[in-house]
Amino acid sequence: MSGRKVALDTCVLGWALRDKYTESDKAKKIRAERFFARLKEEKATIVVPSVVLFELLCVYSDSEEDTEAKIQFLDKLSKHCQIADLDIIAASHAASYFNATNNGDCGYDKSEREKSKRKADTMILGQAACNEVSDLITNDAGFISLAKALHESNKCHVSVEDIPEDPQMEIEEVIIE
Amino acid sequence: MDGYGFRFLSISPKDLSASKLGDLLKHYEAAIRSEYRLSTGDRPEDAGIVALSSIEDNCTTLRFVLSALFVTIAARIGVIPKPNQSFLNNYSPATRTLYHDFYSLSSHYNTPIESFAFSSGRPDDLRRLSIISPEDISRASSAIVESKKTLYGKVITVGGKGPRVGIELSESTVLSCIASRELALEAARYLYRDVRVRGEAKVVISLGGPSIKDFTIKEIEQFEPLPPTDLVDILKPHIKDQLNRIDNIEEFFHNLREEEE
Repeated sequence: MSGRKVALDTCVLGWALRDKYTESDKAKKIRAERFFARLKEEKATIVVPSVVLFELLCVYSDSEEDTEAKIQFLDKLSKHCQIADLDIIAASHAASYFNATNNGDCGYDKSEREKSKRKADTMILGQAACNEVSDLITNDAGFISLAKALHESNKCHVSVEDIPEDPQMEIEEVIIE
Repeated sequence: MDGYGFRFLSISPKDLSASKLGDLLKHYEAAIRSEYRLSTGDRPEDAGIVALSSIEDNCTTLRFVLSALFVTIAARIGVIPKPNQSFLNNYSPATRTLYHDFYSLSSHYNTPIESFAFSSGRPDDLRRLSIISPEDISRASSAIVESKKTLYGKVITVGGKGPRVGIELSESTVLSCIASRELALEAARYLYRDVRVRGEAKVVISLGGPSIKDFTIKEIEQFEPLPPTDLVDILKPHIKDQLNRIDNIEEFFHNLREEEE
């Protein structure tokens, strides 16, 4: 685990882990796959916050088949990926971030995002922050905006960004056009 | 124009690292701006200036000048409260971070810190606003909370008179953990390897946020993180069907964070 630690939001994992996509989703799917390949080149380590894991597990039903798949998924995930818990330190960070977005102390206007989303955002950020994560990747523009306010006011060191553009993909798109 | 400043009364200038000094300067400006925003509801943006006017006496005296709109705030912040005073909660997190910097510096370098005001016409006429001492810091209230915790990192040292295991959590963070002799010997098998460690953390809750004081290892095992693409390959067979059932996964996951109407 010598490289940087990167946490992933639920949608990013969802794009990477599914097969089915429409023609309009194709770019997002390819972008997620290429991003993962670049992380491998950088020797980055993936961190999955437990709040993200909770959301991901919501795709399983209670059927026998799904339950078996969920057990296998959790077994593989826990063996090969770092899961960030919501322990006392993460909870303390998350509460501090939430309050900063709630009282405008980080320069964030709370009317930009509803409370339940800010709660999930700050819990994920708290888990990332106390696990030495440097970057968190999400495709949620509202989450990025909230995290930017916390980052710029020196309250949270985690940098939250969209899946970075792939320069190679842009060239290919230009060629196709 | 009024100015404000801080003096470290018994510090060897060469001991004070540039990064700590830099953090202090940055946090002072952040504290002024956040208190201004709290008291007026306005964002000062670039309208007001918090400027470092001089660093004197080999970095042990810092003087600031501020725009007129910040002077009242600076006078309030300039009175550094004793760390055990309960009204610390009345300050913004940025100001509490600044005060934590002062408490850390005072404690770490064993130096009293004085804050003062001066007028630009008579810079040598200092009016003391407050003084805090290392003794004040040692009386600061804090709590130690025990919590179960999982750590991921690399074993980099094992041994010592009392068995200790050094876990590298990141390039800049190493935690020296307490372990039984048996667990230390087991940890030695994983030297320079990635491990997952479960144990009990003693977490200090104080003004500057929580931090791990002690960590006692209860369980250690080798951890084999997979590169991101390999991780996707190994996980996909066990979740792709479930994800494929969802027409719009962005909407599905975003809805999980929505409030009920």
